[in-house]
Amino acid sequence: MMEVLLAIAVILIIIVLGLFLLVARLMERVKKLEHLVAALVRQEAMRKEAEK
Amino acid sequence: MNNSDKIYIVIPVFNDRPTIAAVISELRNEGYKDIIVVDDGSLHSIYQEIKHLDVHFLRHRVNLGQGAALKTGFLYAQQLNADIVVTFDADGQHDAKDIQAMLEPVIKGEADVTLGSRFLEKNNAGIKLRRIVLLKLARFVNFIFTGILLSDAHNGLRVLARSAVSLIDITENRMAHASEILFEIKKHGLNYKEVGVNVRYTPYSQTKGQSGWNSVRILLDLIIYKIVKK
Repeated sequence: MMEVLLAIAVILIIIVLGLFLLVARLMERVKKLEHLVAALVRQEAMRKEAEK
Repeated sequence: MNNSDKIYIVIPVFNDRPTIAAVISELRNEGYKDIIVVDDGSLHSIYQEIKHLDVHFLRHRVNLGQGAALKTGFLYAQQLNADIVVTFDADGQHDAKDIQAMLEPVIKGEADVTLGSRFLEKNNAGIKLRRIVLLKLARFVNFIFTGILLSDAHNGLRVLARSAVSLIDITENRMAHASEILFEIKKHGLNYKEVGVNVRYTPYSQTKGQSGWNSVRILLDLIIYKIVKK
């Protein structure tokens, strides 16, 4: 019984760690997208002010 | 640096129509002519409120966050060859008279960055207990993430020398930029100094302050920042 519980616990820990890494990778992509959008918005704002 | 240094005030603005004109006028009365207003996608553009005040006005088409607005202001100030950049909130909580004391260490070359602190020397009547607790917790969170223990965790009044502006790269679009700036100060070995400042707690500035939920978001942003920047 103990062995089964231990095995389940290990599997759960692996799943949680895997999910954490997956979310971290996703967040990394989201951040890159955010920066890209910010750079475009910034460029437009600065161009408009420079044109005045 | 000397008294002829080009000092630019960067004001990130988001829906601060009730206060922005008064804030700019206060800065002008203290002799600060060069002001960069970055409207971070306010629902109604604040341009109408300030067009008569002759400031540099940049508008983000969409709301990105205060960190992104500051970065826009920094980049624009660099384009204008600013020697010193001052960051100043738009909600009227800062006192323009405090800027001079913050400029001095930077002008004298004693510090690359000065950071305003409401908990040093000055009287800050009106601060709520809940806010004090949040700020005290935040300074320890900052310490854990950046290794810098300040007396005030999130004060929008800062003075940065040109070298600091060019080295500090703000990548956090939202409010976690305040901690990121400390992280960058540490990373680049910049000299910093805290200076006591007044913070005015008006009903308006209280509504603009960080809520408990925002604090959780800042913490999450910092954790993600650490993971992504590893």
